[in-house]
Amino acid sequence: MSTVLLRRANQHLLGIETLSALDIRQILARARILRDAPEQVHGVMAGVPVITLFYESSTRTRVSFEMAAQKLGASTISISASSSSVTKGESLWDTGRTLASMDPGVIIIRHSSPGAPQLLAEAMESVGNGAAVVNAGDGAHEHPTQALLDALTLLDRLDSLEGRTIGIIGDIAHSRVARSNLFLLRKLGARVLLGGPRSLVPKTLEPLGARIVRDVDEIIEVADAVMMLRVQFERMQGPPAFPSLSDYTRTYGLTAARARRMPPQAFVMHPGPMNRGIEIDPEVADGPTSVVAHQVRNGVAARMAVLERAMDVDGWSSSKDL
Amino acid sequence: MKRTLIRGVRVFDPGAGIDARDRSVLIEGPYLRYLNVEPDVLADRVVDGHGLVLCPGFIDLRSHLGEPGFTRQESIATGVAAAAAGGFTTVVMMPTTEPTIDRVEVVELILSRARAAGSTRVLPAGALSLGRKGESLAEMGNLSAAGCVLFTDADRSVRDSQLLRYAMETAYDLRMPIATHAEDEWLSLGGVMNEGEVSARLGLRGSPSAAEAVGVARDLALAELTGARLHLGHVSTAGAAELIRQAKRRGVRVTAEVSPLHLILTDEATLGYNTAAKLVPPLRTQVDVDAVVRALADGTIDAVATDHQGQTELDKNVEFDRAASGSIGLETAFGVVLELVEQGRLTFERAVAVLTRGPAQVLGRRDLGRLIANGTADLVLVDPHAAWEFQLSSSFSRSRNTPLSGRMFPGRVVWSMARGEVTFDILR
Repeated sequence: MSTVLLRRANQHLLGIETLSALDIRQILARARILRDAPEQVHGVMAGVPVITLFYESSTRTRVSFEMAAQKLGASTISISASSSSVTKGESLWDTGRTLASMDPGVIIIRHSSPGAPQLLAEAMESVGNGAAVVNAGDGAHEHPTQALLDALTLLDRLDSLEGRTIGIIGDIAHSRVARSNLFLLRKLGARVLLGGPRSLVPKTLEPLGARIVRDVDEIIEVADAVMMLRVQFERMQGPPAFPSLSDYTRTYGLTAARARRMPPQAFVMHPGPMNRGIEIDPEVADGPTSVVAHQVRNGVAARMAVLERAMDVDGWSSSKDL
Repeated sequence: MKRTLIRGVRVFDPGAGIDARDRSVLIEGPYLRYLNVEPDVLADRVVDGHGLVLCPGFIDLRSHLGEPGFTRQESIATGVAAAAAGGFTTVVMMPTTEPTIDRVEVVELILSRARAAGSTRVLPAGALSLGRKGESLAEMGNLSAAGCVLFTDADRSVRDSQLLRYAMETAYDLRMPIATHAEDEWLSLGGVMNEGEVSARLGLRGSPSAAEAVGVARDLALAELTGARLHLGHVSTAGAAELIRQAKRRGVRVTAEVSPLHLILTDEATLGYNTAAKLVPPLRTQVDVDAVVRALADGTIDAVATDHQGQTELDKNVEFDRAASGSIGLETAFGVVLELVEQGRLTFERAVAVLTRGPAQVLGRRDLGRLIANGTADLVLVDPHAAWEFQLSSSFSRSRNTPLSGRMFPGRVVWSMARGEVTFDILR
């Protein structure tokens, strides 16, 4: 395979907000093929270096990306902030330029600062490198591959998202998963209801197409699926945003009693990591309405599709049918 | 003494109520001698003023000149050059220096550097608290005697209301104003931009406009309690503007300023994580912009102050939440107010007043910001119809951080004179 061809149209994936509904459908369609027809998986990325540059800790996302890359034949190199030049005070800009000079195919970045993947992409472009940057989560901004794997999971159960109601409950303010899902679900025609403590559910998200519902029971009773999010204490500053964990669970948690009020076909999602007993009852998390394990499985396929798109394998985006 | 004659110029001074066309003005040494002489008076130097407007030299109430301590970003010499290019003949320098301006020695150092840099007046603003830490008062009496013109902790709010009260009472006795950065820092904790739809989209922590309103309300209450003169620095929200309007009606001795950028830009300028638009206070919404422009037009806000602050690439070309705040602004302030004139949102008279009479009143100075026969020759010539593009490459500032790079303005400053010395001239 010609590396010249490969580098021609590498595409960043910085967020869902900038994707079209068509882009999203193409990625999902390809992910389904890669998942359901493994014979379609070729080593299209053989010899391509894929770097995972993680400034924040992660288990599932990093492993999922690395597995996706390896299934496509890529060689993966992982860099953690704790073992890199960051500890020596190197700026993200300089790190980007340094890595770009080594000519990788894809850099997958996770960072606590919103917008860091864009800065990295700009740094790499500044040295004329065509590597694609894939956002694996930037602060409270976006986590596009999580939204894609969530959509894949939703569409495994629902024919279409058009007119469907999806609830997202929990610490919305600090959640990149909530933002990416909100953008994606709206683009595919779903109604999005947000719930959780008012102090963690910014009303400024309403102009983006969400509806905030004060009473989480109202969401649970109508939603086709509910996504439960954990409280991100590590991102909080100042005093606690709600009185106590037991208060939180009582008012906003998906307890077994609440789960029983879900419509018959409705199901429960969680992007992890899960705080069992706080936002979700263990019984519900492991129960028949939970699709959490399925989400994780879909993660690898969604990320394979994203990596293929990033490398523009076989003129990928133009040739795929929906 | 050397004589300069400006011929055929429109003389415009809102402070003195002068608007006279086709005048000839004579400057002798450091003095503005006559505002109306015969055009054939003998002079060493003649400036053709046709099509130009002669105004009192502009006064900036808020510049960060970086010296001592941050000369990578700006120095008194480069800052003063940028000021001259923007028509400013007087610059109040914030105590955002290292060490801060809380000792007489620092004041003396600044004044001597300023003298070396030319004739533009640099007026140091003393720190309100030692080290700007908000714990105990700086030596306001000694600093005042050394040349400080007001007291402020610059871009830090004074958290301790008791300390601010004492500062105001001390300032009252010294007949000096206190300038505050009004903000409830608990409410805005961790905020790196305005809290709103844009921050929600970007996933950045926002600071609500209510944090400014809370701060303004507290500072106004203390001004009322102490009778001190309070100047509210860089006001940015509709809520603050309304509180100031009401306080003025009640007779509180309060003045206020707004930065040029807050008059024309909203938080949408930060989209794409544009750190050039990361400011303190943050850029707000269109509702706020409209409100502060109205407040400037109706006199609720007295002055436009540049908040000129250089930052290096090292401090700006990083993740948005880690980037330094601030923008350079001395060279573009007049262009911005002219833009508002062109839009019909400000009269030309008001546009000049907020850079001259307004800031002079904030400082309580009758000798500045006005054209007075036999007064000091602090002058600026502007061409209100010479459209120009602000190019960073031609900036006099040491730094390059601004969201206005490449912006077109309807008119510009073409010549400045401070204390009889020409400090900027693009007429030749």
